This record gives sequence, C-alpha cells and structure tokens, in this order.
Amino acid sequence: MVEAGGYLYFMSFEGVEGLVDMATLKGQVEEEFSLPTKVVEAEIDPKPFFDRGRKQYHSTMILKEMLSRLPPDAVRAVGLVTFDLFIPILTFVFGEAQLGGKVAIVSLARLRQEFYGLPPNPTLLQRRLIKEVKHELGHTFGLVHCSLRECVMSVANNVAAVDAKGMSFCQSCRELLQQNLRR
Amino acid sequence: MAENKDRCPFLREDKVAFCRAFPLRKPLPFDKIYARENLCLKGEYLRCPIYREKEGGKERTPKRICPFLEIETVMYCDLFPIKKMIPSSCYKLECPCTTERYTECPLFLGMAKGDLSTPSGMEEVGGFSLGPYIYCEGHFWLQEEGGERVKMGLDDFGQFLIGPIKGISLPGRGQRLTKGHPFITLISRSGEAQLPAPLSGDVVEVNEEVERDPSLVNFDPYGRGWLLQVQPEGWSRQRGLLSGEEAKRWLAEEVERLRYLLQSEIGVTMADGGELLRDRLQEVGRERWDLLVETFLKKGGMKNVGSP
Repeated sequence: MVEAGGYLYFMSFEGVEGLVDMATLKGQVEEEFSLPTKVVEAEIDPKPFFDRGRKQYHSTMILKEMLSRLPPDAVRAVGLVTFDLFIPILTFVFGEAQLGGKVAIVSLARLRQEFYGLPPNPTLLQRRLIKEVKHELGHTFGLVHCSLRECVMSVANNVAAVDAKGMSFCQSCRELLQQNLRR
Repeated sequence: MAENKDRCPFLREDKVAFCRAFPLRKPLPFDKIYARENLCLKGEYLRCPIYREKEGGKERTPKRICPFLEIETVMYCDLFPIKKMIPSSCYKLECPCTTERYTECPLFLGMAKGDLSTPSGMEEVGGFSLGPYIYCEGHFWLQEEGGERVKMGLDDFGQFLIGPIKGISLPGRGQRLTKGHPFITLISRSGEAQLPAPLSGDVVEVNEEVERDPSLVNFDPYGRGWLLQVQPEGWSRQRGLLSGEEAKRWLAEEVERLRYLLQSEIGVTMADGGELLRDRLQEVGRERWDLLVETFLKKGGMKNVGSP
C-alpha cells in the first residue's frame, strides 16, 4: 500500500549524477507513478558486495542494505549505480527489485554505449535508464514480466532488448499498476 | 600451467615493440626483431634518421638501446580469424576474455564443444536451445524416426536443471515404458533424480555412448546426448505435446517461472538482465534443487510409485 505523504526516493550512488539528467528522470517517474520523488546520496559502501571472481557487485545484497537504511517517509526507493550488478544465477542484471516490496536497484553500467566500445550517447542512456527504472518500480508494485515486447515490463536479456521495449506500460500492466497504486 | 577460470584459455599475450618517435605507431612482435640488423636495439640507434630528427641535434649521453623504443604487452584471441593485438592495459574489467564470462563467447563455445553436432533450425529462448522437436512438459524432446520409432532426449532446460550429470541409468532394450512412471535415473552433483516417462512404449534402442559418457546429455542434449528410441503406444493419441510457436511460448514461461522460483533472502525479487548461468544452479542447495526437479521435470509423473 502506498502511504499518503510518502516519497519515492532515488538513492544515487557515486558517479551517477554526472551521467544522467535526474530532473527528467524524476519528472517521468512522478508522472507515471503519481508519487513525489526525492534524490538522496546513497550512504552505502558497495565494496563489501563486490565479488572478486565475477568482478561485479551482488545486487540483492545491496537491496538488503538499502532496506535497512530506508528513510521513514520512503514508500519506495530505487538505487542507481554505475557499476555492474549480478545475482548468482544470472550473468548480469540491469536491475533487480523486490516483487511487491519497497526497494529496487538499476545499474547504468550496461546501459552505457561505452560498455560496448561505442561512443557515449547520453540521450540513449537516459531513455534506457527511464525504461529500467520504470520496469523495476513496476515490480515493486507487484507487476511481473510481460510477454508484450512493447511493454516496459517485458524482460530484457541484453541491451538490444532494452532498446526494443517501449517507454511505458501496456494497457493490462497499467491497469494492474493503477489498482496497486490505489490500494 | 594451472587452469585460470577467470580468463579465457585462448587469450594470448605477446610483446610488441614500436618507435615512439615515428609518426605512426607500428607495433612489431618483439621476438621478430633481430638485434643484429636492428639499429634500435644497439648503440647505433644514434645514426637513425628518425632519432636524429626527433632529438634535433641535441647531445645526450648515449644509451644501450634507443630511448624511443617502447615495448608493450598486447593480448589477442587465438580463435579469432584475424590476430587483433590490443594493449593489455586496454582490456577492461568487463571484457569477457579476462573474466569467467569467457565461457559465453561463441568462439570459446565452438571450441569447447569440439565436434559435437549443432542441429539446424535451433533457436534460443531465454538462453536455452529450442529445436524443431516435439516437447513434453517434463522437458523431454521427441523426434519421429522411420519405422514408427520415436527418438527421445532431455531438453536443454532439463539438462540445465539437473546440472553436470555424473551418472545415468537407462532402461534396457525391449523394456516397456509406462507414461508417468520413472524410467531414467540421473545423478548430478546436486542429487539424484528419477524422471517419469513422457510416453508409453517399448524401448528399441539405447544410446550406449551416453551410458559411457553421461556428460553428453549436458553438452549435446539434442545430438549425441539422445537417450532412447522407443516404439510408442498410441502415438497419434498422445496429448500435451508441444512444438513450434507453442513450444517457444511454453519454454519462455518455464524460464520465467524458474527465475521467479529462485527467491532470495529478501523475499521474491525479480531481475531484468542477463541469462541463467549454466553452472550456478548447484548453489541453490539440495532442498530447492529437489523442488525444482519436482516442479519442472516430474510433470505428469506418478507420485509414490510402487506404494500400494
């Protein structure tokens, strides 16, 4: 349930704000989820969650840490990081979220063109980030993956699939989201 | 040399030398530079027109080799048809060649699989191979052969769930299979699974190669890892079989369900991103592995077989 007077927090990790337009991201998310947003610096040291073997950070462990540090007025929180994330069974994740929970996380690492040896493209990065933030927030509002490619809740195994999905929710995901937002 | 799991075995290192004074960087393999003929590697570099032009007639204490000679370590892929030498300093952390993710590289996979067959018409669904076969819900594939025979094997998703197979017990030639009754035992590092037969019929052929080397089920589930040939009973009346687009949708749902079932310690989390790591399912623990095998591979199976 979304508590009245609560905020959706963006917990920004080191290096994120120089790469993305936070004002646009806030605007898009506020419009889609009808929630006021706040941006704060994440006071979480990700080093303990670094896996030397994989050279990636354990996403679920960071979510757990975020949960323990949620501001009292947070109805949802999205962590934004620049480093590459993983969960043990997947090669990498663009993001992860608690299904019907409060926290989500999105990594910019593989959304950046530079990761693929291409020149930077801030506009494309911003679009990819908005899609992934909406996707992960959708999970926190109880939405699961959608089979429609154009829906932002469709699953993406690679960045091409992120580009292929739409910027917003399909009709049935939107209806479910609205119901869950009202609950 | 000890195997390094964090680095592709086909990644090679070499030393190259180039002249920092020359307008173009032309790296040459260091071991191909012959000191006797090369000015750079002896005091006679002072006679080199490029050196003299760069130094502009300045008097410097002579050195043993040319101060503009640079030696750098480069890396290249031994499998790629063109040797593209990249300075080792440019290899980033996320480069698959220098992480354990090199096992996802198609060139590595091609070599690792060796001469194993790759049937045509295969496609990938959620990271799993799906071919032009008939699929059963318990993750066996079937292929009609001549003479009313059906060839059978475990599908790619099924072999992934079982994990690296160490032992296998197949029914013998002439033995009768009853749909839903256990007919095969697979032993992997995660445990032992008895799987129910997807159809009834008589076993007419057994893959002896798989009995000798059960890992073929993992490495080549649709090729050399086939299990049995069966003369099925009531083949035309079989239900619950999937093929084509229907099989594709079904497998996509199965992959999604598997991801969903692998819950984390903070409840159910959902991730958007990569593909299931082929060797990590063993980490889920015995209890959950049993549950996954029960959920995905024992569909339609008879429970408590043998009990009154």
